[in-house]
Amino acid sequence: MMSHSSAPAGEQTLAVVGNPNTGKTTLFNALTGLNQTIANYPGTTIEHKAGRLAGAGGVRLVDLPGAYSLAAQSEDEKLTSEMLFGHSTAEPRIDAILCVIDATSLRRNLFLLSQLMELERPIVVALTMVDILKRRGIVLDAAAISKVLGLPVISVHVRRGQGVKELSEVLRNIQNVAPAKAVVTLPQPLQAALDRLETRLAANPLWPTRSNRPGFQKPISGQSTGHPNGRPNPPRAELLHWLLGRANQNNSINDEFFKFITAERVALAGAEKAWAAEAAARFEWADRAMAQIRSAEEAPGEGKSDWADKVLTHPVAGFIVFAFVAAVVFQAIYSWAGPLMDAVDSGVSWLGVWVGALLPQGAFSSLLVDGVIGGVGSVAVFFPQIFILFCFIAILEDCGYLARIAYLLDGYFRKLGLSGKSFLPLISSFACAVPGIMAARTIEGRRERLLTVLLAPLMSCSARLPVYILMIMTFIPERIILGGWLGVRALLLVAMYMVGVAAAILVALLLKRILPRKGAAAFLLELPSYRLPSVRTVLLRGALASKDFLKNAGTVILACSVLIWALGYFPRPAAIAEEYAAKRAEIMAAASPEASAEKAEALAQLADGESGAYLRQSYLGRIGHAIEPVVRPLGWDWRIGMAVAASFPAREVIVATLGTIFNLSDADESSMELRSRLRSATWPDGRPLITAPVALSIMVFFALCCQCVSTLAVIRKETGSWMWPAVSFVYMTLMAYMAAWTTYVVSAHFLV
Amino acid sequence: MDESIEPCIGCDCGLRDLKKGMCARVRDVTMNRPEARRLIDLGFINGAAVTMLRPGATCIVRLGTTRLGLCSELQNCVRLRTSLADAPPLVN
Repeated sequence: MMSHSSAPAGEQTLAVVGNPNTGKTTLFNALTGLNQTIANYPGTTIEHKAGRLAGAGGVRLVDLPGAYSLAAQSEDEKLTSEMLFGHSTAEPRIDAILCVIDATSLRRNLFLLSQLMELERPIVVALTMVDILKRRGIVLDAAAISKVLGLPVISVHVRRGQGVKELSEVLRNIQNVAPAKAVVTLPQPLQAALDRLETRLAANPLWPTRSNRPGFQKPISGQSTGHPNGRPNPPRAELLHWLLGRANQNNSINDEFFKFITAERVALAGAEKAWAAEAAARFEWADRAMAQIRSAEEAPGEGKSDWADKVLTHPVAGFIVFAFVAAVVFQAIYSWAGPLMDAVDSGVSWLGVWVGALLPQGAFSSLLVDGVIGGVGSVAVFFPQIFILFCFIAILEDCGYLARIAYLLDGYFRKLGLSGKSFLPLISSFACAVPGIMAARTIEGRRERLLTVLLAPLMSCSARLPVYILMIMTFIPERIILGGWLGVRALLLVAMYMVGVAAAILVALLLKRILPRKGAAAFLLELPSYRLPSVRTVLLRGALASKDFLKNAGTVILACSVLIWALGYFPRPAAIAEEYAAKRAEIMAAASPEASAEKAEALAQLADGESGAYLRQSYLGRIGHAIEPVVRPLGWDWRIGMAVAASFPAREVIVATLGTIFNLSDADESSMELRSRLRSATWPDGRPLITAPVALSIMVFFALCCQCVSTLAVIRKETGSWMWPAVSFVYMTLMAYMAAWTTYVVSAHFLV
Repeated sequence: MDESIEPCIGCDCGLRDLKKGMCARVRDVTMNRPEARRLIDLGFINGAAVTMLRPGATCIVRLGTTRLGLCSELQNCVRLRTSLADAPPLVN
């Protein structure tokens, strides 16, 4: 969770506000560069982005979620209006507003501007997409618009760098901009109700609240005209919020005040009628303003975007294009990120070896090499995947295609309680749940987003593959079926992927009933015009998401890695050290000087044996023994239980841990030696330890469990609470256990 | 306002009834769902011209210069004041 420090004295905080798809974030990025922070708003999953104006101190910009209106409907819009009304603890003071307006949707954007002007704060307007309008034969003159609106207006084209400097200059001197004034003449009954409310509030500004919570009853600014009692009066935007907004009877609202606004709403023939009348008045004003500032009327005929939509939203052709795009994104994070991840992994391994060689052997060296560097490596290895995925998301979102994907899939995903936008996070999770969960940020509905986050870890990620390969190749004999078209092993691998998908569908149907419906939004989505994404924005989005992950999830992952290292390293019984020192001395004494290769091999085997002996005696080993009664019904012994416990930081760790337990160093899933030792491992009574049913139960457990500290850390970060990672871990572990047990019992019945 | 579109007094036509390419004018928005307020703020107000681009359970309409995807629940909230029989097809 971020710390929401208010701006230092003398620093101006500007809210960047605008409709969605106006190029608001692109402009914010251009104005602040990498000099920005991303976090969640307290208690929400919505991104909070703030940064300082590049090249100038004293001006801080806060990128608020896109909004069509101050009458908030979605979680995002609610945050925006709360911030602007000064009711938010995240940004208690907003001094001025930078309103980003899309010139191609001027009417709708002016609607929001008319509301912002009623906040009575200094406003600067940035006009985007002017070039698109120009291509349609309509010229907009920023100076003329400025005259009509009575506000500074600057036309910007971020990709070409036009207007950004000029805008920065105006923002730097924001104190010279006068507060905006209300421009819309409201319908008479509404205005009369507002006047009555204003009179009552002037007499008692704290009246609306029961609790007098600080900030809640506070008028938004001190810039409004004072009243006889010397207290500033709330601006019209806030009065309208009280009168027509979400003020419902609850503990924080004064009963008398609630009765008053309810009576006023009834007098207005219901808030609904008043909403429509208010909106009509604002659109009338927008129409009048547009008549003065546009060189020509825009014909609403078919544009290029309409033609593209004929294909891209078509029920058949649209799905074909979408399948291709999804395949490219999946391929990118699954395969293209591979060499980069290998490079990061090799770099970290090299660093570990180098540091290990510098330091004398012992606990400190092991902590640094296996705990810290290993832990950092397990975090850094995700960097390429997150960077690539977020670059793709930025491209798809900026060019307008993500909205079409949401449209295409919404009907199907809605049946599972998800959103059309859940697809990309879920498909990405087949490569890795960490970027997948982060990608769920694109989903507006809180409920849909939470469901997506909870389901993403069930998709079979690439870390499960080494476990599947080791178990299948070691314990499942190959048999060709379906006339030579398919092998049992390949079929089993596909089945493992399907287990996760099937479980996700069942869990989705269950959670859909359990999770509160609050926040479940009806599908209402703007399909923006297609346009070229900005390279700068794309790269910046990838870089910021990666930085955010390394900083926030990284620390938790590192802490867990060090903890697991300590459990696997301590205690160090002197008896083992003495036993292996004696054996080492024996080899050194016995071997002839000519047989140095044999001696080295014997010493290496001894070192592997020593590591295994220590691990078996460690706290982790004791945990394995302690949990043996629990894992016994799955067909596992304490060694498998210990390996599973050790793989809590990451699933793939089980392979290396099994290697250490069976006295092998550097074992991976393709190691023939490890396969042979696993096959020959036995119970104390001589029965084989791992049989096909046991291998199947291990695979099913790993397909469904949440043995991945990175995933849990990122769920915590994205939901802003420890509750959801705890829920994920508990329900997935229980489900994995039940499924593994069922698999073991059923397969033991048929296979043995 | 396009006067060639005759108002349909007492007409209970909704957005759902528009076929592909048909254009009509909005009469009002019923507040069956909380999101209906958003429809008003987006410009679904009395007299606004709306064109059906792709009908369906989730449809695509054009309102002014904005293309919107709307689920069936929200389509039911938008009542039209144009006789559908008189609604002109989309130009092109």
